[in-house]
Amino acid sequence: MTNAARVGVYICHCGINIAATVDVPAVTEYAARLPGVVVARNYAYMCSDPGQAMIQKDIAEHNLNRIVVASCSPRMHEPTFRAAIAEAGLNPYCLEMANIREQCSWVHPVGYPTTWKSMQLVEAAVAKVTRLEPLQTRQVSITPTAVILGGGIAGMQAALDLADAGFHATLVERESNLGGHAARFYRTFPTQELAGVLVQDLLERVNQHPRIRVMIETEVTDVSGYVGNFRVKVRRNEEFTEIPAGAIIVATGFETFDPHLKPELGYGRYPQVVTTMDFEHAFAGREDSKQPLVVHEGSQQGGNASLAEANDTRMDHQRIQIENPKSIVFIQCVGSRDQSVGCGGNGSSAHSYCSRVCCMVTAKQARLVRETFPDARVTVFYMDVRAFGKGFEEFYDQARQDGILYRRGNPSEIIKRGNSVLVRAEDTLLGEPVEVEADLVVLAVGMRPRPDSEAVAQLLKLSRSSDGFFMEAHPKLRPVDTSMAGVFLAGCCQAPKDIADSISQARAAASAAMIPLMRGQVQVDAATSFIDEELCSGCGQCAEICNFSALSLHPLRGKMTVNAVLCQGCGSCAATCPSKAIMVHQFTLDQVLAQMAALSGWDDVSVALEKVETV
Amino acid sequence: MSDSIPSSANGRGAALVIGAGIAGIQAALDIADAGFKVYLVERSPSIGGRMSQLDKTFPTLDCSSCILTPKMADVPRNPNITLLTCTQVEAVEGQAGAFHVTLERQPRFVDESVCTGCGLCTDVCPVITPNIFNAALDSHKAIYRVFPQAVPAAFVIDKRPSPCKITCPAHIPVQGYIALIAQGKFREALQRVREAGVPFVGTLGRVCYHPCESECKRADWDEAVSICALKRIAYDAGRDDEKPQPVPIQYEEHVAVVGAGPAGLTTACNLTRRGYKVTVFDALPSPGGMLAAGIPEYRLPREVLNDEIDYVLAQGVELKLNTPIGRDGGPSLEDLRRDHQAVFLAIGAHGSSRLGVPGEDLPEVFQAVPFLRHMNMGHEANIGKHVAVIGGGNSAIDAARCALRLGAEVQLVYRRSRAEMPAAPWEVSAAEQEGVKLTFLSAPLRVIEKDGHAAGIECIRMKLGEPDSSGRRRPVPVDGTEYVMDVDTIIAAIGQNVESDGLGVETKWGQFVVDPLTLETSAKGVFAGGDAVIGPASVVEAIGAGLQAAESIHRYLRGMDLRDGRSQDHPKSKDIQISPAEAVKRAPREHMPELPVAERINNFREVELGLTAEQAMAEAQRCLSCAVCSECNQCVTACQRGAIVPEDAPRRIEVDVGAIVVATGFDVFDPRRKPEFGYGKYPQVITSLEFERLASASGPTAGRISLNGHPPNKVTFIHCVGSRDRSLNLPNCSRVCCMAVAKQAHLAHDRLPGAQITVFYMDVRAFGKGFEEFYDRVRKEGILYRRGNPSEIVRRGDHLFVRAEDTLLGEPVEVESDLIVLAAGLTPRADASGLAQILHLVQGTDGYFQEAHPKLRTVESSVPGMYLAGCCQGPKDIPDTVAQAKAAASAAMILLNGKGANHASN
Repeated sequence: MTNAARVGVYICHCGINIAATVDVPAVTEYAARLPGVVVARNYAYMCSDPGQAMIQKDIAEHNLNRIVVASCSPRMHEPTFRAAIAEAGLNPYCLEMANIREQCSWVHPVGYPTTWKSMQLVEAAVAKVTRLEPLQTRQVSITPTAVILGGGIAGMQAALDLADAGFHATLVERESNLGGHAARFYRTFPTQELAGVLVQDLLERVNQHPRIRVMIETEVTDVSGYVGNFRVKVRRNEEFTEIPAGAIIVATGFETFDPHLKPELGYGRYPQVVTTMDFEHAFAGREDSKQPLVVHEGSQQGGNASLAEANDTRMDHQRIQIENPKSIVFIQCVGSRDQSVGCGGNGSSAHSYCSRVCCMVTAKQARLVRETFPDARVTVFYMDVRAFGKGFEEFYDQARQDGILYRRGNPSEIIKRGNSVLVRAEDTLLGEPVEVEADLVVLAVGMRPRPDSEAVAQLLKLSRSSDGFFMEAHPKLRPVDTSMAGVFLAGCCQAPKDIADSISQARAAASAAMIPLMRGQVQVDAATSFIDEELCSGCGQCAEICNFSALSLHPLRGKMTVNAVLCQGCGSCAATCPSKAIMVHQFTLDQVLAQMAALSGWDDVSVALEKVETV
Repeated sequence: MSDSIPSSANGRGAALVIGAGIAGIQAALDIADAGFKVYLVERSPSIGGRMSQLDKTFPTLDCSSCILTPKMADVPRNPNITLLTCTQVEAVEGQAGAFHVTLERQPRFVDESVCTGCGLCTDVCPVITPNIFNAALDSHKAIYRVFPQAVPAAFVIDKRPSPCKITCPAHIPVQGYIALIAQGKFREALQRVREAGVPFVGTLGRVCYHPCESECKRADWDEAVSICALKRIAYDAGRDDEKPQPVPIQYEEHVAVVGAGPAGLTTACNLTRRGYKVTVFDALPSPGGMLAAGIPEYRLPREVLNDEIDYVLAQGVELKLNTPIGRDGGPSLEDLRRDHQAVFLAIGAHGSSRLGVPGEDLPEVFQAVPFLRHMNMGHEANIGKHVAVIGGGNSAIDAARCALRLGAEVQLVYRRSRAEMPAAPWEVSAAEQEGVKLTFLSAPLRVIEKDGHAAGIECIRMKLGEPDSSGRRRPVPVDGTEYVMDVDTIIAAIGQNVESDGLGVETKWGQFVVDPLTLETSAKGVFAGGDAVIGPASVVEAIGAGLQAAESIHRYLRGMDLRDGRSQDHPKSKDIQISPAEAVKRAPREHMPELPVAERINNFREVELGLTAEQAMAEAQRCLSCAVCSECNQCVTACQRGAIVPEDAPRRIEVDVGAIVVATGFDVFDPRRKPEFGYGKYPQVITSLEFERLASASGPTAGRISLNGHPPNKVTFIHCVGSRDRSLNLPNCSRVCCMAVAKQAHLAHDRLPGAQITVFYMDVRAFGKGFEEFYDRVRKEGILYRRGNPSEIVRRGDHLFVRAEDTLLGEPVEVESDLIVLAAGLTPRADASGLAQILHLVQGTDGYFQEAHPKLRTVESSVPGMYLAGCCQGPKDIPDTVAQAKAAASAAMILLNGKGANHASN
């Protein structure tokens, strides 16, 4: 045990979250008798200001040098308590949390001895905390520039914000044009503005901005470094460039669902069946309203070519000319809210999610049709109309008032009838099957992750959620952060969203990126791995397993070295090292074994070590 | 008062963030983390906003508090953030890059920097009030913390105006001593009134005309609280024989008070306490003014009065009796001004108006004031057996009842009718009970003389004509109705006046002319108050004037502004709305016993006998605590850190900022606007926000979903209450309710095993990341989603039924429910228009603040340099709010960094 460890133990009721199943006073009494413990207390909410003040007061009055807080997961409040004890003059790493909520009070069936388990967890934490060493965090200066991957609406907006704030931004776009999907839209909902004008506005500002460098037809091949000092390798044709960057914003967008995957709807077989994107392009491409409307099938780009090729029923570039149509049908949720179709992205999950924009896209297009072909009957098949945004419900109301017939039902198939097609569905409000003849059927195709999102995820070490989109750090409070410090998400690569929400999120990502850029430095966590050179043989197994390229062989000493800035403290190296030469601060063998010894009732660490050796 | 707060410490510019819900917190943290100064302004006592009221969040079921509190804790810890709670924006001037903002900070009454949040104060607080944070499902004390994790953690006192205190001319903290009496703390109650600067507690408790009781809100339920009687028992039961110690003199200035009545002694008492040397002069041989000379002993026992005067004198007040000022050979006002640095004239209204009829000067014709003074000073009164008292005021009644007690038969003659009598009605009826005969609409013409003595009085009948300047109908003689009353003694009580001659101070109709706020007269350093200024009035008005004078004289002697922060404008009691914490049970007021008539008409024993302690405590418990904080000051005593600031006042704060982020949030639709759902009528019908509190571990039921202790087993949720509703002109969708319901339905399923859970919806809008999957999961749990918009909730017997058309079945359905949760929509803040005016923001037709462009400029407002975040711009869920808040932060930082002018202006 470290000399004269003076431990304070603080047990949280968390309202009733812990106190309902754990006898907190009993745990407190138990803790007070543990070796090294000077004071043990409990409080309704340790994380509240009075709770923190209690710890700070005790540190001063009882000259405490180690603190144990038994409450929730350290993911939540470890930073809170570290900051609190630092304010009171302790090294912030002299803290150990015992998770008696997520790992105890919340998870056991009635009758489980949760109070006993809490005592064990507290005892283990006390055993560990007495062996913790003070550690120092470091500040690392940064490169005050940013790289934005993807030149759609989100990417352009993020680049503009960063550049406006005074930072150089490089916008990397794989295609030959900026603007992404939005560049090919006709009008936007709910205000019916020309999308081209909106995109043009952004484009001009991006192109004219002295601090934005645009790289088109360029792909990212490698990303190394860490927050504040990334190196992004890109390739244009055969030319490679390395761009240093303090922050990276991922705005790689989406692709639309390929309706060939739902052959019952006849896309690619009947020229009358088109997608909302085809329809959008047809309107956008028409030079004046007197011209007949020509809809090309498959006009969306960035589609999944391999799937399209695999589909032998597909006839490329079918087109249909619409003049004086009698009936036009829209079908919602094609490739959304649909468990029957797989998600190409990581292959595992169904398209069970909602694509968020299609309801309003359909309402907008339906109203456009109503305007363009006032004599045509316009029918929309829907499951739920999700008109949730500002002005959306009002827009949807107007669509119905314009005479657009909304029928609740999910069409089962489309069949050919003469020069037109027949949409078969059950109208669930009438409770009967219906057939609607149509000159044109527009499928509201959903949004899905891009096929290369797995590759991008690997480049940047991002996680993906089960729907295949990139995963944000926290679904509620950290919607643009990722698990990688310094890498942020914007737009539809994170989940489907409309233009307004994409813009907001892009600017949010810009704000997040600005914080380190404006500060000029970032703080590096001290809980990293370290090498015991006496034991290290320089075999390099650790470097192979490291996900963060944090380990390398010292060329002169023949031992491994750790780049503490890159190291995320995951511990893979420590687990791999055959000679126990690598350990992670805060999780040294000594500390972990002491914890295990306390938990298992083994007498001391040496016994624990023997037991572990034999396992 | 105004505070200057150091502006941008680092010279990089500063931002103002208005509203500290999750949007404001996030925007403030981003801007501050990047190194800019942030003023985060929140009008409630804690940051956290609506999110802190939620139990779990959708779709991950994260505990809302658990994810929010770390962010809340980051705010005070961030050195770049100045957090201003209880604060609102009053005015904004300037333009983008250079806004000058005026803030007003409402008093918290607790010093945030000293309070440790220990809660000792709340333990002793006697007042409970509905807990708004818990949707009024339970209550908290008047001194409270909004919720356990509140930031700042300091307590706050909910202090509002109360009709009784506003109405009282002396602004006595009525509710305070009543709250103490309710707990049986009579001594503390007496102490509380005295602390407020009022030495005459037992006296007021007997003779006050208690205008407070006429305004008491309890009368809206049954009867007013018997405030006056409670003040009396505070004295009767709370007094002890211990006298206060003399207060050490702190200042060298010497103050003269002329008149030892209630006004003069109150001023003397309060100035002495502040450390001044005070001498009180009085022409009479004993102190008390009209209290001693005018009020008969059967109303105010001399033992009580003398005890209270002793209390004043014991603090060190010097008293010089038999010393008239400016007349009868006494010192002049000039003499006093030479020897004293300030003078307070409180000489009362001891002069009498003459009847103005022949025979008035006969020896058997008395004036009421000298008559009462004569008797009250212990002298024999020589009156006959048949007495006529002329007049209808309190002095007339006092004189009549005194004459009666001396064995005379007494007739009171008043020229108007009973309704116009200025005397207190309860005094008039007591006189009547005792045998005083009342003759109305009659006025004396002459006193009939016989052998140099009065032998009767000739009167004439009157009728009421047009109203006069006082608003009362003017009496007009009726010709030919003269008659004679056979009396041998006449007591005239038709008016009193101020004997103000010889003082050299400006008067009008004999009364001193003063500034009504400061009581300054025309002579520098000379103040006047009480009856001498307003004419014969009441004891409590005199005490009020005494308090006013003490404050003025202190400010005058200390060279302070006499007017700053003082006002006679108070909220009107009719405008004060109250919401009692518990249902008010009807209970009539307690009445004090009186001495039977037969036992009192031949002596001067006190007539009213006072409440018993039990009666008083019961009576005090009838108080509805209109002011919430009763100002009983028990928290002041309990707080070991001295953190309570009872006199805390609003403060003005000025800040200069370059950018403003508006994040003022939303209100919840009030379902009473849809009466067909019976919200407010059926306790089983609650809102989704109330459900959040019911489900929350830190809520009123500690997370047990139950009504009156019973867990429901048929729960129905109704979507779109106050959303998508054209009949209420609320066409917009509230965006979050579908998922909030799905989450709550899941929680109900989880916590109420076996319960039948039904959701009525129009469209399920599960549009966000992971939402549809969550909605699928909830349906798989067995929750029944029925498509239909309920038309009404009906009660049959003890059971409630939700009536709707199930549009998928195409038939009407009724679902029996013992808990019905209305997914009440989001609406713009009720005061959004007010803020829009202050900030010059444009609102959309839906009332939310309008963004500059719905697609591309989602956070810019209509004013350059002001940005929108969160639900003040339109309903949104937490991640969308956080994203927008960060976006607003980005826009603000661009402006502050000074490099984005071209963008900010386009």
